[in-house]
Amino acid sequence: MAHTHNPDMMALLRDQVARLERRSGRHADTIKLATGYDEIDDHLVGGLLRGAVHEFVGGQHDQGSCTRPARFAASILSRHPGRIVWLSASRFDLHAAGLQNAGLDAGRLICVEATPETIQGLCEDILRERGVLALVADLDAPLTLTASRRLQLAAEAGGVTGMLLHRLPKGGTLPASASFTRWQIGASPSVLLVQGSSGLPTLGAARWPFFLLAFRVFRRWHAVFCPSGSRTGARISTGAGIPTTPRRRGWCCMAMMAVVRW
Amino acid sequence: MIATDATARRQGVQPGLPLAQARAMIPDLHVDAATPDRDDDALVHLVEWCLWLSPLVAIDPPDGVWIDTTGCDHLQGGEDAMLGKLAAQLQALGYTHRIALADTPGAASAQARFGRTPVCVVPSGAQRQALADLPIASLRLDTETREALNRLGLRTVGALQVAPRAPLVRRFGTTMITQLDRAFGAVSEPIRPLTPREAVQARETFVEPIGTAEAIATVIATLVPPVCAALLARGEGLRLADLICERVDGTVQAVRVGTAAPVRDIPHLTRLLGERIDSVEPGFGIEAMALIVIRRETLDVSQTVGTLVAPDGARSHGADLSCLIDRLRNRVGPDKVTTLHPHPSHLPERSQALLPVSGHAEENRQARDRPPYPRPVRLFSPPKPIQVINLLPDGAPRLFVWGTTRHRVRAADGPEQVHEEWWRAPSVYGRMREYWTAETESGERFWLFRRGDADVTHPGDRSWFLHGLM
Repeated sequence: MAHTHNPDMMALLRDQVARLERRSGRHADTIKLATGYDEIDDHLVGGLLRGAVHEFVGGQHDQGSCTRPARFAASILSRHPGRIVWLSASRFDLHAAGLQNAGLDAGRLICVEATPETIQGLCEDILRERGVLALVADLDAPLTLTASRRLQLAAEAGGVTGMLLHRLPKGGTLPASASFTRWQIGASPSVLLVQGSSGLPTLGAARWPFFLLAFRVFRRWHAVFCPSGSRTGARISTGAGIPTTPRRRGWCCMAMMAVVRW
Repeated sequence: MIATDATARRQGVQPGLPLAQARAMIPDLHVDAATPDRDDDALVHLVEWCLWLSPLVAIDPPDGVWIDTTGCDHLQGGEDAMLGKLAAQLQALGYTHRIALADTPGAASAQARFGRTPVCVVPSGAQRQALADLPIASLRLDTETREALNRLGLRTVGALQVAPRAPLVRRFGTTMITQLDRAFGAVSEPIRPLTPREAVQARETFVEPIGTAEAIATVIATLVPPVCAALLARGEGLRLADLICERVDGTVQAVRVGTAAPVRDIPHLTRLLGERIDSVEPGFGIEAMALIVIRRETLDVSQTVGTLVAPDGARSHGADLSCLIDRLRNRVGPDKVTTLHPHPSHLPERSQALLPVSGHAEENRQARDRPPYPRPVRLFSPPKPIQVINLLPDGAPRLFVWGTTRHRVRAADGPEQVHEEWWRAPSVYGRMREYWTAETESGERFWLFRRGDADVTHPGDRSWFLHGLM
């Protein structure tokens, strides 16, 4: 009787075959998580790679709370079936109605409150668990290079996509990591059309600039999208370079390091 | 003849009589074939029934029950009341019974089988006097010893007491004297208590104490399958279990694991227990380990749909994550693994509840349609106080200071009025919040609210708070 409870052999074999095929680049939908923004999906040839670790940082005043990256992660995950483990190193601050606004059913989440000491081990454990769509982790302290490499290896072994949301102190920077991509999501002024009754114009469609800060294949890039409204996301502008600020030069150096390493 | 009833005994049919002789005495004698196995089963049932009286009960073969009533009599209102209740219940069950209460199991057994009265209480410390008149058969000796003692003229326990011990030991060995001492309480007699049939457990004792993590893992791997097999036979699954490690120095360590749903999957349980090995302190070594199921629940066998039949996407969507959830619960604590449930409330911080999670994804009916109002993905808890400058008292914020930074507002949506829940506390009656979504000149959007009263003439303190980022 016990053998019927074992993981299904066929499912395991399919998993292995899918992971073998990943190298040949076929079956884009089984190996990529489409983000819903056509520009990003085109640039990444189908979307964020499954079974890899992607890092997100907030821009401007969002660095401490990492709200826009959380909303971006929720909107990506809402497009794909499966359960999501959302880890937090401190108290949980997600808002179910906000997740639903981003399209994500909060019932799919397994929320785990961990401590800063245990969160790395938990991340690694969950990334090795087949059957989970993705792991999203709110990190209060940046990972060391070794820790991030462990997470990347765990994600490759388990096929679970990892999304690390880094909460940084004001003006803080992230050290180099072995993650597959690193994104910064900022905000830029929206186009105001209608004058409201309160004396101020009403809000136009929000515009978020996405900065692809680090990518293993080293293609710096940024684009501005409307996060709300149409699910496909209207492209507003794209560019090959990142606006030069002193901090971003640090990012570029880090990306070069990634090329050398890989 | 093995046993006879009272009517037959009155006619002179005694146990031990050959059947032909008994038939000759009473031609229409009703005879049933003896079934020793079923008698034993019935005795075990009776012993289990006696668990209502005391947790320690044992079989006294071939036809007796030992009950250790130490500390139990006051629950029934004293020793006499307890025996009366037991007698009445046995009567109701249809058993002919003899009950004796004594300091030692041997004395109680002798009094119950050979005493004068059907219910008898031997006063504490009075075993010698109580047993003096009883035949030596009451000491549970083997037939040879009994016959030899009879030939010597030692027919009662009292006679045996006064006889010199040394020649008796030389002739009959220590067994007989030990039985005598046990009955009088000079030597303690261990009884083997019956474990209730309900308990699901497995136990391993080791020739040599173990201490390494690998050895403990091996023992866990041998303890889990019999427990799972027992659970399967009952159609139940494990909810809570203790792994008991008995150390050489006599202390006991317990590792408790719980599951979110009933489980009897061997790899699942092995992994669950294996993750807790590092919390075991082996000390000088562990000499015995037991896996005891504390709480169980019914677990129906369900048919699994093979992946060849199921559509491809169903695999990850319907995957059973109970193993992962159990491991997480045991690592970070059961109350730290939760899921967000909608709660009917207009206050944003009260519109959700963190509830225990189950292995299967719950389809949230309300989640199908998005809320009509803007809500942030994260809430600041508690809301952060800010200073706001607005041109009109009820108008949109024009400038706000959060921390040390000034944010100039270039566009805003609002207000969205949310009333406090007056039915929860009378002090919040009439209170309300006005939520605004404000975009600053850098393009960032903030979710602000102004606390105030709905009463126009007494608008409250009108303080502003930042509740989240959009």
